[in-house]
Amino acid sequence: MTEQKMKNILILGANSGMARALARELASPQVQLILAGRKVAELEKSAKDLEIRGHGPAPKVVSFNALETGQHEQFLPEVLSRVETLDEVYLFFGQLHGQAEAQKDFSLAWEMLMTNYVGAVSILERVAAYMEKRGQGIIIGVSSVAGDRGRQSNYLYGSSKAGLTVYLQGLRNRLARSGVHVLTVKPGFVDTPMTRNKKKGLLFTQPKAIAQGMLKAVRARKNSVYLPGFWKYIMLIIRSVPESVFKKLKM
Amino acid sequence: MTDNITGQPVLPPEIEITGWGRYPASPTRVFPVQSTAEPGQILKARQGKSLLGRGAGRAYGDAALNRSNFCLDFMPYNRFLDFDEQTGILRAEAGVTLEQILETFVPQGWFLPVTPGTKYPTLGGSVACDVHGKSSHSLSHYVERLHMLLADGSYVACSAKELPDLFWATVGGMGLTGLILEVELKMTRIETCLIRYQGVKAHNLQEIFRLFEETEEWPMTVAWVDCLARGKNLGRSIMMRGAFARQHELKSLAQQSRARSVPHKGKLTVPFAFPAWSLNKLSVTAFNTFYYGKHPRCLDTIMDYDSFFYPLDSILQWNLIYGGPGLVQYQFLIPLEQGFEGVKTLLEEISATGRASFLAVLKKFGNIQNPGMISFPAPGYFLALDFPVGGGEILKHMDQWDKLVLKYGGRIYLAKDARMKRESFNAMYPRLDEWRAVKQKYDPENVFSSDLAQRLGLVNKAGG
Ligand SMILES: Cc1cc2nc3c(=O)[nH]c(=O)nc-3n(C[C@H](O)[C@H](O)[C@H](O)COP(=O)(O)OP(=O)(O)OC[C@H]3O[C@@H](n4cnc5c(N)ncnc54)[C@H](O)[C@@H]3O)c2cc1C
Ligand SMILES: NC(=O)c1ccc[n+]([C@@H]2O[C@H](COP(=O)([O-])OP(=O)(O)OC[C@H]3O[C@@H](n4cnc5c(N)ncnc54)[C@H](OP(=O)(O)O)[C@@H]3O)[C@@H](O)[C@H]2O)c1
Repeated sequence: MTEQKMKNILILGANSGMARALARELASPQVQLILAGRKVAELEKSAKDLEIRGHGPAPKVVSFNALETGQHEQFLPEVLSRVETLDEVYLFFGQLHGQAEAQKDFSLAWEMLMTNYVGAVSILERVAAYMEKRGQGIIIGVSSVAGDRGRQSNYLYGSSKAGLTVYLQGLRNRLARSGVHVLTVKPGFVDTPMTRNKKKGLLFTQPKAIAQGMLKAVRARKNSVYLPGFWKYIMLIIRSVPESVFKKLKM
Repeated sequence: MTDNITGQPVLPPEIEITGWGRYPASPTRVFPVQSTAEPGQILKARQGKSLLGRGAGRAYGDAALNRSNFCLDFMPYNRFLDFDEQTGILRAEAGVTLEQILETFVPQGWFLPVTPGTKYPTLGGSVACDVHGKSSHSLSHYVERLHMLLADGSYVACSAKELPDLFWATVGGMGLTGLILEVELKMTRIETCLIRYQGVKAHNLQEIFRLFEETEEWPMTVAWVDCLARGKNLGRSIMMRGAFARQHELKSLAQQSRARSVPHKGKLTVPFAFPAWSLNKLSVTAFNTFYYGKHPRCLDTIMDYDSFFYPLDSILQWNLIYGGPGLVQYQFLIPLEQGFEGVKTLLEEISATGRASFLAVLKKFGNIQNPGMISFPAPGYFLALDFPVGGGEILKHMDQWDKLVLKYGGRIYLAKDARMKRESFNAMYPRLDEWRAVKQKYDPENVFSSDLAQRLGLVNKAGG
């Protein structure tokens, strides 16, 4: 048996439905998980669960709020005071409000933009600097199919994710030479608390399947992946409609 | 459920849900529960709607439905919170499934103390039904403590010692006393997870009853009964008995290597609702293969626990085999003393309707008292049969069978029921008034309700 090195993996937004599923896939004796998010008490429970299921080291819990960008400079040093290195960072946090509500009340739009784009960029810039310097690491950012094309029914959320997608693209380009890999994940509809008030049709996927797809994409060093894969084709069609036609559609 | 920014209630859509039998269906708003605070928030903002905890929806009938009201789906609330290797006590959130428990604990040498014939239900739902398995206790015997959210918004722990009235009204209480948030369960130590199995043919009802009697030393027993057999063959069946194999009983290296491994087999999925007749053919064939095929008078072997406990789980969504309108399971208990007479009379009656053309499952529940107030398991013989609902004729027959069950002092299992009349139910459960008093004490306004509760009058004042 070859001695396997312990991997340290940070999950930002670890209380998300998708993140919980991913953490369960990851939990094992060779993985030290660090769970970061707003609800520390929830994360402590998840940590216990992951320790029992994965037979690995107890995951560490750190408080993290995407909106408190003023705290982000201290965040990584705090994490690195508890683990020696960071090998992989998954970014899951995100905020979704109804388009109609956000059009009426800009504070809702603001929260989406600040969380999904500004908050994400703020923390990933720090992570990127750390990994670039170290010359290794993987960053996995969860964006969305909603960021592929603006539609009247969700462009406020969609544009925040579009920003994240382009940011991750640029980051990948910047870090390619230093040996740091960046993966953009674009899930379709996933059955998590975020979609609790939506009717679950055939297009919905369970978070476990998304988590497994993510791990496969990480192993294959994919740059960008739609999950499940069929969204690639749906989005191909949606992107290919000429704008002069698209703007008249009710989507 | 209120949006933390707008303060507006965010309601999930109303969707049609059913139990495992796919009959009946009820429009319900289903709130997924993922975080600890959510049940309390939903309770506060329920806007006069009644609430009901829901697990995997593996109860057959209307136990986990709440028409035009709210259900809390505990499936995403599924974390292990603690495991004490000394005592074997597992503390977990209500939504963990039995399958998840097995996958984590079998490799460490632990097993569920009791398991129903499927591993897909949640722990919370199994406690609420006080499920029984092939062994002689029901699940509640191994429940150390429950952590609940009550109608008045309080969080309490209950057990056989703390708030015992609440505890014994909740196990088997079908979710009507409050929400079960966490369960502490005493697991069972096993040396291996393989089963030493014996299958024994019985030519008629006398033989199978005798086998049940002389099989007392086997910890787990159940029989498949061929409902087509009549006259002197009435009750033709196969007794299936098993015990966890000891290490020294494993003969081959192949067996020893599986002593602690979770079996992973391919699963079939039933793709759509079959025409109802296909079922009879399938199950009759299954039985006949066993009975007339290679099965000797007595088969002795080692098998994995999946094949022993969960033969049906290898076909996902087998409930679709029963065709469009769904199925109803009729499961009743006849007390030990009347057991033979009762089971014989009912089998005759049932096969006389010409509809029960397939298998029934028979088991004996030992002489152990169950303090659960409306919990089903009690000393006696249990018989369970599945019927396609079809045009609904069968439901009328069942009303007649209820009278026979009552005559022999028996009862119907609520987790399987979708159709029983209130009058029959009231006469079946002798401690119902005690249960009603506890319901009145902890949930006077009937915050917790279900379609089953409405149908059977469990949410009305006494007797109503
Ligand atoms: C193939 C098959 C075989 C079976 N074999 C057996 C058997 O051998 N023995 C046996 O006893 N049963 C058996 N059953 C029935 C089944 O085991 C139980 O009905 C099941 O355990 C219920 O669990 P669930 O998670 O599916 O709950 P659901 O069906 O979703 O709910 C069942 C009840 O539990 C309540 N409930 C669920 N979660 C909570 C909660 N968190 N808080 C409060 N109340 C809650 C609901 O309100 C409802 O009244 C079988 C079912 C199938 C489909
Ligand atoms: N579900 C879908 O259909 C879908 C589709 C495409 C993309 N996505 C994206 O997938 C990711 C995961 O979402 P999910 O579906 O798993 O939904 P989810 O369970 O609602 O998770 C969203 C998570 O974001 C966290 N969060 C929100 N604001 C935050 C902040 N300011 N600081 C820190 N954390 C914050 C939330 O934390 P709390 O637990 O503390 O509230 C929550 O855990 C999101 O980025 C989402 O946009 C989802």
